[in-house]
Amino acid sequence: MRLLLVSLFFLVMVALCGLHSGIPEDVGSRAALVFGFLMLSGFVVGELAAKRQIPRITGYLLSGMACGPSLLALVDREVIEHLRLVDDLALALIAFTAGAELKTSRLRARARSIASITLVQTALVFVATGLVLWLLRPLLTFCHDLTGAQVLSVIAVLALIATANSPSTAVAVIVEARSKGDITDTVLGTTVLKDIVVLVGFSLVMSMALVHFSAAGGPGVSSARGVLLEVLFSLCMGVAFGLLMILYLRFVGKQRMLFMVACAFLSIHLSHTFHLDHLLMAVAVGFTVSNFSRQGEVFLSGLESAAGPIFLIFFCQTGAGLNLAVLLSVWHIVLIFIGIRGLFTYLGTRAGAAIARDPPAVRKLAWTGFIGQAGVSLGLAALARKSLGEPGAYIADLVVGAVVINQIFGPVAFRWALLKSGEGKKEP
Amino acid sequence: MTTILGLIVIALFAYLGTALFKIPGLPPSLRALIASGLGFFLVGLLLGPYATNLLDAGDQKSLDVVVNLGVGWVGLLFGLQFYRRDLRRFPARHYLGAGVESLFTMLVVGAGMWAAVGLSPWAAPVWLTVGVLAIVASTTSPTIAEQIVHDTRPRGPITDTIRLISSVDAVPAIVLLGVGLCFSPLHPADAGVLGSGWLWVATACGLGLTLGALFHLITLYRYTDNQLLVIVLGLTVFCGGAAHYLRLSPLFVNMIAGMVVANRSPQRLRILRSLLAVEKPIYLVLLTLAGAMWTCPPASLVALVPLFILLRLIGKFVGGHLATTVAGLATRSSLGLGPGLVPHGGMAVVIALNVKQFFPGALGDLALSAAVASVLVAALVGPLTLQRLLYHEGEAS
Repeated sequence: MRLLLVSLFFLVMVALCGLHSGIPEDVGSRAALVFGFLMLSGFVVGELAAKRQIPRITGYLLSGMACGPSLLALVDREVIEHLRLVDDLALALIAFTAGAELKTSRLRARARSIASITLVQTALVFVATGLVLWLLRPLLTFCHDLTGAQVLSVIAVLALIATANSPSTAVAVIVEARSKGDITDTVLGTTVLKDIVVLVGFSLVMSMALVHFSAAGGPGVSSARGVLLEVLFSLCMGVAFGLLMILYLRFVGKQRMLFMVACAFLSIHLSHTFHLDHLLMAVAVGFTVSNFSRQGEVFLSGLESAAGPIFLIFFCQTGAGLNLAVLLSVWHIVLIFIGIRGLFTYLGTRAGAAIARDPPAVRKLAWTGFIGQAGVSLGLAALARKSLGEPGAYIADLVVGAVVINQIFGPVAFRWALLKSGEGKKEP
Repeated sequence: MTTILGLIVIALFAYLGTALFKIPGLPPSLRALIASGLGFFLVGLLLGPYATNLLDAGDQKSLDVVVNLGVGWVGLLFGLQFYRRDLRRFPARHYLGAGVESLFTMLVVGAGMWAAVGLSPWAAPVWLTVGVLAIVASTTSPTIAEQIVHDTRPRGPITDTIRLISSVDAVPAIVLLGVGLCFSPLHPADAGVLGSGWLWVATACGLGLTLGALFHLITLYRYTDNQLLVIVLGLTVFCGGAAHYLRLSPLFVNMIAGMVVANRSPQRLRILRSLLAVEKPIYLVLLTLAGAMWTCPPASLVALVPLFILLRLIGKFVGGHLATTVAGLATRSSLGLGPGLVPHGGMAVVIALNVKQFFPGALGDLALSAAVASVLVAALVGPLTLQRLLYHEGEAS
């Protein structure tokens, strides 16, 4: 019945488009209309998903995909670009939540496990995916006209993107399932730490690739130093923002959510101005407030109470931005890529957890938290597209295709794992 | 550096607002000024192109959705007040009085502005400028009335009528804005399948009724408070976006939708609570965005602002007197309810922001400037006149 109601809203939109003919086009007003519809349809599909014990965010993503350019075409690139700031704001608030969930008191106990899984899994996924792709290079059409070194560097870029995860997806599933426990802490800590490792690694690999593709690429070491500085500066800025937020929460305390939105907006601005990593900076804000003040609980509960609309906005827009047509064009390679990535993520997590002597539940189930891929992977793919010409475009298409699938199944698998381990709570 | 500055500005204003409000014995005018949220308009100014440019033109365009949400939110909330059974608590002549006062203020401001605007070189249609200013002037702030009631605890028919009038006298303004936009240059005569202004008026009403009905149907299901908030948020953006897409007033369309929900939905009170729960943050965000969007209109138009404020005060005083007569109230003061209707507030700024969305040039800036200046003056004067009236009438002691 609720789907029928959403269809009625859709019909209203169609009628509005008919009435609109002749009025000058304005992206802003179209974006508002589409945004409202995305929220409504996303909400309804999310609720239907929740009824079947599927994460709401999967429903939001599916609804976004349906409204996106490849299917109903309600949302086009122009609208997505127009709503970029709203999307960034939602992402910053999700990153605040991710940071606030990282409690040192809990993480201290999981530090060994987080470090071990991060290292083993990243190394294994990178090396093994690269090796398999190297063996499969006759299938990769973009390799045909490239030299051996160029193929190697492109494969290295692709293998590195395979190691990336989505902290925002992980935190969304955790918050929705109201999950607490070893798997939760391990996945959360690892996804954030891996974010840093992947960023540094990508800059290294990309620098080496650029050497083989053009003279524009600088020496890898200096570039890596730049990225390390970027990471450090992002974290420091995040801590500084966090301290300001603590002062506000301590001495003012009014309109907390509004102040958080203002901080999110200003952190976006700051990261753009100084080319900082927005996600890391926002995570550091949340981490600082949560761990170095008495207001941490208030901060986190405020964010969690607003989580519904924030996740809805972010994941609907993420879904709408995914290009399904690309998936269809390279589906067989995408399936191989997903298969390899999934397999070695599982093995890497298991091995890392075994080295850290984690409990059996973590060894068996934690890997599901690393399947989801979203913003970081898409961002790296976009960089590859921009820098590596035709092979870069192929990489980007392949990654977008993989993200479509991983983003649908990743949250479902992770939620299943949280419920199976008893850390998450079922929908009433 | 500017980002940090922006953050400090926001924190400082929030701190000052909170700290000042807590000071006991603070004059009601200062309290009203803080409560009006104009500080956030100033924050917006400091974040906007005039100062730090943190909210540049590109960001403002991207945040159109938020403006739409805010304007739609206010419209919906306003419409939800009109629940048939609640309305029956007051005699019809009180509503008639509110209408008369509002229309009279429009008439006074409109006539004065017609003469003044006619003298200055002005590109937009004069009727539109005059109409917009008259509409902005006609509303009264219920917030300040509530604040005074809270402070002085008055009891009696004058207090009740002032509270009622200040809550409902924006109806003529919203309706005239909704209708006026349908006849404005936003809808060229040959635009789309609808050619004439009246057809656009019918479309606006139809859209409001349809969206109200859909709103009612989708909120028939059982939701938790958080879920209801999400869905109300989505519906408000959708309704506001639908109106804006057709260049209709989101305030008008959402007010109609709100009226439908108020009278049809069994969840009326829960929806109202959801809307009220985030009313303040949304309003403050709107004010901040209004500050960032504001650009100073040409000097010849700025000169109109003091005249606008003066005309509004005259309109409110005389209009209030007329309302007293129409409502059949007896007052000791010859000015009747007039002094109690001076407060000006959020609705005026929201109407001006709605105008600015459609007319981003000088007209929008003039409307916003007039609204903000008038809210500022009314925050200083309004509480005093209202308090004095209530003491004089013996309802407050």
